[in-house]
Amino acid sequence: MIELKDVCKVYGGSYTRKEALNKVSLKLPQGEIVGLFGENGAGKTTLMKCILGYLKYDGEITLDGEPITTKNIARISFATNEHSFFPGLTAKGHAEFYAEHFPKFSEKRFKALMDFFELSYNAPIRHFSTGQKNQFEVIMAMCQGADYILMDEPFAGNDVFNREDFYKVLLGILEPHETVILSTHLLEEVENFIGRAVLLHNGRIVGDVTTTELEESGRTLMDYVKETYNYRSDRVVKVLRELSDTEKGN
Amino acid sequence: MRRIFDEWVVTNPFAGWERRQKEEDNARWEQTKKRWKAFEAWCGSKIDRMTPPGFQWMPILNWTIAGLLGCSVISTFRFLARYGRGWRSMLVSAMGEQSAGPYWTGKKWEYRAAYVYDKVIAEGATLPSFSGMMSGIMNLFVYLMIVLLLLSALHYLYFYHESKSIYLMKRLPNRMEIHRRSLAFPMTLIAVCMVTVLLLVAIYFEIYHLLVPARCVEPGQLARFLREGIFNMWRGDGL
Repeated sequence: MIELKDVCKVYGGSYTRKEALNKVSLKLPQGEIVGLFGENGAGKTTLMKCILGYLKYDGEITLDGEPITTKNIARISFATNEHSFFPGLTAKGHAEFYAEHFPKFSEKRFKALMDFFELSYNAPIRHFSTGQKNQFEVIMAMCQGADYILMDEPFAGNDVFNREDFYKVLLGILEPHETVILSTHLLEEVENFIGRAVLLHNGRIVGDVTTTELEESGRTLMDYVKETYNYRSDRVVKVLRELSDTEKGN
Repeated sequence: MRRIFDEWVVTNPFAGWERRQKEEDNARWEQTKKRWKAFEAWCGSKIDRMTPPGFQWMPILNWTIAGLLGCSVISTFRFLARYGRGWRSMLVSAMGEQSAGPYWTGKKWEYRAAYVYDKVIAEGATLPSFSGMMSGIMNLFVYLMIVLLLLSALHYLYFYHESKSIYLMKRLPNRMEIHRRSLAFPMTLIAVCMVTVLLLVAIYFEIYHLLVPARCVEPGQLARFLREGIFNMWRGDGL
């Protein structure tokens, strides 16, 4: 289980101080598919980067009670829309590199996914289209052999069919011990795919609910998000009415 | 007629000798090419592991080899020029044999006495020290090595270029991998530069001693070079 205790992260100096994470405490047990939601700048990416140790933070993050170090970092993989592959290296080269560094790298899964998405083994990744690059990024994260797969808006730039394919494949190939933490804005698309939703707002966790709980209460994920964020749908109507009144007055 | 010819071909031990020789040569050449390719692949795989994954190191290697050759040629020319100047500084003109012969004055031929002057090594003359001669000779190698050091910085930057592969490097169980991939290749090339410099110094030292009589060389040249010259040869005033 990944556990975060009072994690705080502040960007900038004394004048440009911005609290990206404010006392975030969260437990992510193995075998869950967790959706991480929030507006831009809510702290989703920062949270993932803190888990991976890319950013310094205050508080405590542990993996099965142990701090995350080189000893257990291989248990976490990361797919990001910034892409973490080597652009000049081929897919085959990536597989070799992963196999060398991650003992649990799944060659079988890699081949299956590469064939499914019809990606080239021998072309450098920089020659792939944006959608293919995203696919490849997720494939590598899935094949690393990690127990926790962090995905930070991995489908940005992919078309709807592509994303649909991916959700299906993900559900099909994930093993019971594998955990996916997926940060995305595509609420409705992932609603049926995730088991739990964590909502972030201004660096704080403002909502944490399982999809079973949502079903029982008869609400959709979108309803829950709107409730939590105190979204006022009448705001748009009000603005439009004001605008039309002004035009009539003129 | 045909039958007779065939028999001749079979029985003649020299028949087809040229063709067989050609085939053997071709086979040998193919084998050499195969071995060379295997060696190239082996070297390539070794260098691949010393550079950031997917980095195109071949142009860097070619430029470094060209740089090494260029630096070696220039420093050799410099050394030989200094050596030649040193040699000339030891020589004095000495009157040689007297002879006589016709001499054209511009208007008419006259019979005059003439002397042949020889260049000889002056009494007690010595060649300038090897250490002094080497001062600044290798400064171009310093620039080459600085460029190679910058290459390691380029390797680190590669992990931020086009993608953020730094994220992958940072979550490898082996944290030293990023440094190995960034530093190993430039450091190896710098080591090759140093070995080349050492070889050149050894060759120059041999040349220094080889072409002059032993009496013209002050003793203790190597000790002096190791004391001073080994630092001075990198100086920037070599030109």
